Order: sequence, then structure tokens, then C-alpha cells
Amino acid sequence: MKELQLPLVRLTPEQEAFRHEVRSFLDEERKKGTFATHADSWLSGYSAEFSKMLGKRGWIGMTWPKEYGGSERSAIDRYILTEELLAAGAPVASHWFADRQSGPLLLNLGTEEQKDFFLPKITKGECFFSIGLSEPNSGSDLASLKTRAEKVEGGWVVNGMKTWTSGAHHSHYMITLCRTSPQDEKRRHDGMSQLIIDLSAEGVSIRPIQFLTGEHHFNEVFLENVFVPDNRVIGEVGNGWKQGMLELAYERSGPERILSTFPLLQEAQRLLTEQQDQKGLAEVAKLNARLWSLRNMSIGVAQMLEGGKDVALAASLVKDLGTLFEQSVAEAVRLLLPMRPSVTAERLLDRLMAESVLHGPGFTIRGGTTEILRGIVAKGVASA
Amino acid sequence: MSEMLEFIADSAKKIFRDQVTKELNESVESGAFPEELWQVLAESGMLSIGVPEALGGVGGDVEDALAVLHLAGKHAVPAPLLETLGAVWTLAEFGEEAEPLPMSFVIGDFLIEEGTPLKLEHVPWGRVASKVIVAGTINGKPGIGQFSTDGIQVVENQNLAGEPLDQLVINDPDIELLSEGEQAKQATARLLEIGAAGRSAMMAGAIEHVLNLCVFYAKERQQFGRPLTRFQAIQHHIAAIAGEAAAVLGALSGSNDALSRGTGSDEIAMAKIRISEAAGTVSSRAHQLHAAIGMTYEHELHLSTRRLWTWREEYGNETYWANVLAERYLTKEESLWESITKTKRGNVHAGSVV
Ligand SMILES: Cc1cc2nc3c(=O)[nH]c(=O)nc-3n(C[C@H](O)[C@H](O)[C@H](O)COP(=O)(O)OP(=O)(O)OC[C@H]3O[C@@H](n4cnc5c(N)ncnc54)[C@H](O)[C@@H]3O)c2cc1C
Repeated sequence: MKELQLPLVRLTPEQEAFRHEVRSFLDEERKKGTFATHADSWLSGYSAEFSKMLGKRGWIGMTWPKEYGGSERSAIDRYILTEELLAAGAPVASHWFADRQSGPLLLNLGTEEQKDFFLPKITKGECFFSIGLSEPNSGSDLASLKTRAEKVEGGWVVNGMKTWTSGAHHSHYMITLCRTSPQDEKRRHDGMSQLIIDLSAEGVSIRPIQFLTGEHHFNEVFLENVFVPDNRVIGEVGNGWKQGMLELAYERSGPERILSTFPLLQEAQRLLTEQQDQKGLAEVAKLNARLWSLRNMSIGVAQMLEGGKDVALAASLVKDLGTLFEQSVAEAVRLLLPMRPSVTAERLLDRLMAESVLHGPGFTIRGGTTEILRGIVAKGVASA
Repeated sequence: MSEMLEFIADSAKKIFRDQVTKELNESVESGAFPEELWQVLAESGMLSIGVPEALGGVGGDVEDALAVLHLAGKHAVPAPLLETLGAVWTLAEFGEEAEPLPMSFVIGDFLIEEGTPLKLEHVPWGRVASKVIVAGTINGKPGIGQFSTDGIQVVENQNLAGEPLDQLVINDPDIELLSEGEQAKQATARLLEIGAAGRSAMMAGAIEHVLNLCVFYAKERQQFGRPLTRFQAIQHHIAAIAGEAAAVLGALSGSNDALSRGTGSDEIAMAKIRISEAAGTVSSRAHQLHAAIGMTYEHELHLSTRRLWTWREEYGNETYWANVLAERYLTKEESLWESITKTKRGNVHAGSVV
């Protein structure tokens, strides 16, 4: 089946040199104490300063046109950058969504004014986005969402609420999927639009939802008569569902779907090597074989996305296999080395283990649950 | 179930139901000690089950205590119950009277030198323990002893469930030795088994509770216009969790039975392996079924799953006990089947309990 055949990407010497540059930068900053390695750092590692540092180097929105602050680098360069950041467990959560999907969405469908206004700020690491999809009664069944926008002169008035909004308390804007015409049970995906909501606007209130670790990652966002000017509608009014689905390929196939627990695997391999534990390293080798094949797939999808190809099916597969892999790293490593997992531990292995176990369940939920993804994959395969 | 056991289980159930609320769990996680609950447990004799009356206990046996621990796991009781019982039983073995104070024990290798501060790592509930039993080797030789915690420095740390797992720094280590040599070796092995059997019972309780939470939520939550129970993927999660719960209960009663007949070493190991395995599967499926709501502090699922993730590592995880069993396979001249049936070829005897 040709949909499952992804291109093998061979990195050029220039690309390998770039990897080297990124890695040296990260090593240095870690030594300086700018950041400490954490698992799942793309969801929980917030640091506006670190984002700004990356922005200065041209490492946010690096594939975008120069006129909008980008560096016109290739998708593979961006892939190298992001996988190095994740492998090092660097704090990249602040700008993650803007770089991964909000920016590209605006580049694709935004007006000239929107691109001029948002993109340069994003690339400087000064403008962060959140994703406003889920609502209390609309999770997997997103099309049942209730948040609605009513047309008024010069714009829209939005009422409703979003939930599980990662990073809303750090972000400046939220791309909000809402209803711009009444729900029609027969055409469930019609009548929705994507609006850019300024999170500092009147009528927006953000309430933290405590994560099971006690940390604060996600939020409830209440929208009460929030005015959104016409020029903050993305693409076409009423076409929000389709536009949103296009983002999903970016959202599902990246290295963050395979590397969330990589720092733990790396630390385990280091300790097992130190102890010359061949049996333990053999288990690491099996995990590494999975990671290697996943990474090939994930880079292949990045390459195809750049070529404008439809990769929805392959992207869903990467997320399904990748997030299960992320979880199994913790489950396998805990059996290889004696440990006392704890988020407050001094020992790196204990702390990374605790982060991987406690954040683990979220991997196969966020960005579409495994069950829903498999439905999409099965449909895609059956109709291929 | 003996009459005594039934009585104990009933009153434990009542105490836990009345006292152990989500609020209590939250206050303990933010640093408080559950004084009132502890008082009630002390008054009702829960802290000295299995200790003879002559030593200030309420009598009963380890099986009775495991029944209480099973319930404690089910109700996510935030108190050092197993830690205290383990310490109290060890002390009773050496003729010391039971006291209804929080205590703890650690198993490991300890180097104690006069004038050098001793660091005890990962002491469960260390900050509130009145006494800590150390068991294993002391200065290279089998030994078991106790410290009073007066004047000890505490470096706070916590386990995955947010319960204390502290470092204790004893500046002038003054250990009271309870035993050395072969006797200490056996007492240590016994203490480790108590820990493993206790955690197995608690995990079994937590797993039962998680199953209940899943069923409740799947009936209540609707997506696509129908309850989650109508989706086959969700039915699979529930069925798999129920299967694990049943296997766990089977493993637990098997090991409790062997324990009560004094032959439980292999069974304790197998139960800890099997139940720890189930802890992982059940937690992962339960979270998947609950999706985002289960990842919040507000929802009570984590009170059980974080404990399951902690407990499966404690007093030996799957790897540890599998290695113990492997060592026994190597030294016993017994086929696997002979060991499962507990009957040697040509050596049939009546009364083997399956
Ligand atoms: C860490 C984390 C971060 C998140 N960040 C964001 C964010 O920034 N922005 C945002 O909008 N959302 C975010 N989410 C929400 C996420 O998108 C939803 O959790 C997800 O879509 C599932 O919705 P739900 O939690 O309501 O679960 P439900 O839809 O209620 O699902 C419950 C269970 O039922 C299953 N199920 C539902 N329908 C079916 C079906 N038809 N067939 C089979 N099984 C089914 C699901 O797979 C799941 O196992 C985040 C979630 C997490 C955990």
C-alpha cells in the first residue's frame, strides 16, 4: 500500500553540521544551568527566556519566509532542531504550538495583515499560542462543540468555554474553534470557524486545572462576550473544521510523539553501560530498534509534508506507534535498574522516571486518543 | 474468614469510609499528618493486629492484618499502616511491646561508624516515624536494629503518590541492635516478605477501586451521543481491567493462604510479581478510559493509580522477585511442574491446597 511507504531521508553534511551546532548550544546552556533535562518538556517546560534565546538564533519558525522573520530553512533542518531539543529535555513548551502549527496555519491561510502582525513576533520567541479545541462535553466528539461566535458589526462576539488548554496561562493568543452558524446534526462539520482570541481581551478568564502531579499545565478558558474583530478570523468563515484537520498532520507526526521519554532512556543506557550490564543494554537495544524505525517514519512524514503531500494516514500511525513507544520506555526501564521514582528526587534517573510515569497516560490522550486515531487509520487503510 | 477477621474487616471498612476523604488525602499530600485517623486506628487496635495481647497487641494474625491492608489500599488511606505494622511485628518478635505510634522500616546495607553521620535513604514516612527499624546487613554482617528518631535531621522527599519518602540524617548514630547472624537474616527476609505481601494486598484493593471508578465513569460520560460503555474499545478496557482484578484477587488469596500455612515464600514472590504487573496494565487502561479528566488532581483516579505506580516498585518489583525465584529454581531439584503442584514425582501426599 503506497500510503504506508514513506521516503527515507538521508541527511546531508550541512544538516549534520547544523545538528552539531544545536547540540553544542544545548550542552553549553545546560552546563551553564540555563535549563535542566526533563521528560515531556514540550508540554511542561515553560521558559519564556529560553524561547527568546532560540528566537535570537532564528530557531523558531525557521522554515518560514524571511519577510516574516523566518530563515527559509528546510523542514528537515527544523526536524533536526526539534529532535535535539527534545532529546536534551529542553524547556520548549512556551513557543511549541506557535512554531509547530499556529504559525504554519497562518502562513497557509492567514491574511497579509495577520502574517505581518503575528509571524515576526512568533519567530522572536515573544508571542505564544494555545490551542482551543476541547470543551467539557466535546473531547473525542469535537464536532459537538458549543462555543459560538455571533456576528456583530466589525467582528464577532464569542461565548463559551474551552478546557484542557495547555499553556493558556503563558500564551498570548488562542486559536479557537467555534460555531459561527447553528449546529446542524446532518452536517456536523459545517458552520465552524477558527478565530484568534487575544487572551488578554476583556471577557476572557483563565482558570488553572491542576495536573495529577499538582503542577499547572492546562486550563479552563472562559469566554464571555469576547469581541473578536473581523481581521482575526483565520481563512474562511464556516471552513474551520477542514482547516483544523489540515493542522493535524503537523500535530501528530513530529518528534514530540516519539521522544517525550527519551531523556529517561538515555540516562538508563548511560547507567547500564557504566555497570557493564549487557542484559540490560540488550533491552535498551530493543527499544532503540523501535525508536529508530519510528524516527525514520517521522522524518519521512516531515519530508512529505514539505512537498505538500497528504500524509494524514501516516501521521496518525506515527502518533499511535510513537506514543505507545514513549510509554513503554518507562515500563521497560523500571525493570532494568533499581530505582525510587520521585519528582523531588536528586538522582536524575529517579526524577525522569517519575516524570515519565506520571505524564505517561497523557501521551495517548492529547492530540486525539489512541482509540480515535485507530478509527481514522482503519478508515484510511480501508479506503486506500 | 474467621469471626475475628470479619469483625476487624467491618470496623476497618467503617473507619476508612468515614475518615478517608479526598480532602484528607490532599491535606496529607501537602504535609499534614492524619492525626485523627491515626487516633481512631490506634483505639480500634488496627495498629497492633498480629501482636500477642501479652505484648500490648490485639491478637489475630498476619492474615487479619492483610485484610485490613487490602481495605486500606482500596480506600487510598494516607497513613503509614504497613510501615508501622512491619515495625511493630519485628519488635514483637524480639519481645518488645507494641506502641500505637507511627513507625517505619528500611531494608538494606548499613555502615555505621561512630562519629560519622548516617544517612538513611528513602525512609517511608520518615518525618513522622517515632522509630525506624533497619534490617539487612550492618557493617557487613546480617543485623537488625532500631533507631529512635529524636534529634534526627529530615531531608524531605516524596514517592509517586506524594507520600513521604525521606532521607534521615543521624548525626551520632546510636543503634539498638535487636539481633545479629542467622536470626537477623531470617527476620530481614521475613520483613521483606511482609512488605511485599502487604503491598500486594494494598494493590489488590486499589485495583478493585480503579475498576469501580472506570465502570462508573464509562456509564456516566457521553460522547457521540452515547455512554462510553457503548464503544467496543472502552468495553475492551473494562474487560481487561476486570480480568486483571480477578487474577489479582486469585493471586492474593493464594499467597495469603500459603502464608497462613507457613509455606508462603514462593507464593508471596509470585503474587508480588503478578500484582505489580497488573498495577501497570490497570493504571494505564484506566487512564486511557478516563482520558483528560483522569489527568487532573481534582478527579480521584490518581489517588489510586499513583499509589499503584509507587507500590509496584516497593519491597521488590517484578525483576527483584523473579530473580529470587530464579535462584530458587537453580538450587532446588524440582521440575517446574513439581513446583507448581508442590508434589514430587513418586512422592504423592494428600492435602495439597491448590
Ligand atoms: C496533557 C493533555 C494536554 C491537552 N492539551 C490540549 C490543548 O492544549 N487544547 C485542547 O483543545 N485540548 C487539549 N487536550 C484535550 C485532548 O484533546 C482530549 O483529552 C482528547 O481529545 C480526548 O477527549 P476527552 O478527554 O474529553 O475524552 P473522551 O472523548 O471523553 O474519551 C474518553 C474515552 O473514550 C474513548 N472514546 C471516545 N469516543 C470513542 C469512540 N467513538 N470510539 C472508541 N472510543 C471512544 C476515548 O478514546 C477515551 O478513551 C489535552 C489533553 C491532555 C491529556
